[in-house]
Amino acid sequence: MSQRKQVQVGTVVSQSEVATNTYILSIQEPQLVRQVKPGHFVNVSLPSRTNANLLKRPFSIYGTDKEAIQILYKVKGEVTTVMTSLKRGDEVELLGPLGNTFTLPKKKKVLLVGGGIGVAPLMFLYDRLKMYNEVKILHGVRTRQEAMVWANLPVQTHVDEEVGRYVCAGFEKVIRQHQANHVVTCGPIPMMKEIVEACARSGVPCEVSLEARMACGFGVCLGCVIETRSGYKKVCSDGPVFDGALLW
Amino acid sequence: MVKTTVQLGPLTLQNPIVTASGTFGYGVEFADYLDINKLGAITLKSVTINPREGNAPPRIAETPSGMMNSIGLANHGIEVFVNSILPKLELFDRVKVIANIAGHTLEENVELAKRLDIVDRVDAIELNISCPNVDAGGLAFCQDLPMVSRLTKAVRKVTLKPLIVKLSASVPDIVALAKTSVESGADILSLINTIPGMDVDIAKKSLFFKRGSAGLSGPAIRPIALKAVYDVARSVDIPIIGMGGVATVEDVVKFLLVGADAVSVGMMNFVRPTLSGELVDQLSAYLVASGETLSTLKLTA
Repeated sequence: MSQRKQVQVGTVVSQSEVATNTYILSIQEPQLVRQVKPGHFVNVSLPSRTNANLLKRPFSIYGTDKEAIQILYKVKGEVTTVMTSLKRGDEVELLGPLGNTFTLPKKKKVLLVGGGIGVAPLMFLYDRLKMYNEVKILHGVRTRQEAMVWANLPVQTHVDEEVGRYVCAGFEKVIRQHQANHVVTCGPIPMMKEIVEACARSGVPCEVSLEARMACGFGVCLGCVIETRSGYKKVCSDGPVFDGALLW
Repeated sequence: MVKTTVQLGPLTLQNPIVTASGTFGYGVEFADYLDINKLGAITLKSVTINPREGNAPPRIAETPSGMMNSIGLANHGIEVFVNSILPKLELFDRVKVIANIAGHTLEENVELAKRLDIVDRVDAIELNISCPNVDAGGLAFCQDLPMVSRLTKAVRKVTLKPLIVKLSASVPDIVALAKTSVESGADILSLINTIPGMDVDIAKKSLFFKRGSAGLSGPAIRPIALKAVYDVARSVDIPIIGMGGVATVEDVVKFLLVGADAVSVGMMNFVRPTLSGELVDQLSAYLVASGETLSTLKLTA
């Protein structure tokens, strides 16, 4: 029998604000670092902030740094507000890695499209794809304040209010320009839907990573289902990565 | 070794820790997290005759100290349950398996009980007359005592397996409900199911759940559950599986003290999937440290 999974207790290494209301949280958890693959997520709760939440909250893996996993998150509700107060040494409860993983193609022209905080899992994916593929990243944000600084990374930031359209508008042209033959996207549903449909018209495979409210994270509570072409699927354990063609 | 075996009428458990239906999948999903064979019993996700997709999302919301769910008895139906799911539990020979049936009608529950009566891996049948998240059957059964009587008697007639009736606290008189269940042939009572609640989406100015109502569970309902078990335990003389927001070994002891014979872990399985196994060890440690036995855990006044 393989080693049983545990609820891990990680320790905060650092936290920094990288754009308006957007933070990178690094949590020391060596065992998790060895197991995580792009696409995975972790379920997080904050035992040092006892009133913050009971159910764990799912966060995708943004990256790893030595023995720490990194979470890129945006302040949206009570839990993420409290998360910003975490300091070095604070304990964080982690369950994971959870969910399925992205396909890791080789020798492809890959286009990764993140909408807002949806860019998080794509950066970890980029890290594992860059050696074997030609990868471009598009990061769509609504305002300049939400733009992040991407040192030495092939990220093109698209500020909606400056360009006057969304990053997914006219996406077939974008696919042609980049000669992309593998697309991965994560972000708001309308954005991903447009991208999936553009990929379908262009004959390019497209994977998407979804987010949902979930109670357990490992396929038991049935709380996180999303409607697909073949019925309800669980975002936590059938996903979070889905073939776009299954969804739209 | 402290003695932890409990006798629930015709059903013997190696210890009083049980898992609640709908919070433990079909058991095997938890095998990555704990040795499910060390638990007293596991109660499987409700089964119906036909597969059910369940309710449209959103299906869950967190509340202070708990959560609401509107899953709607999503399951694969009795055929898959008997032919594909139950065989996977053959490996686990010490844990007792409770199959929870949630037919929409009396006839459907009778049919489900008949099917399960001949399956060896099912150690007991739990009749779910208290699910708040379906349009037919469910909680509506619990609110109609003559129906509870007819239903329980009809299911009793077709199975020799230990019969558990699962009660809701969202009724005018849970003691009357319990007595009706006992008089109609229940061997064991389990209580409580989730409590109907509601949430509101202020941006959309609409009810958060599509069906409006959803079931509240977790530590938020523990005080209600303790009182329900207390009231029922003083009024009936069959075994009780108590549940509602169990999160710690102290909670387990509280349920035992107010009259439960076994204690089920529900929502907290989601938060800490290892919890039920930990509670088995912690209860033994509690008994050793306190010098108590399961039979001395009774209220003194």
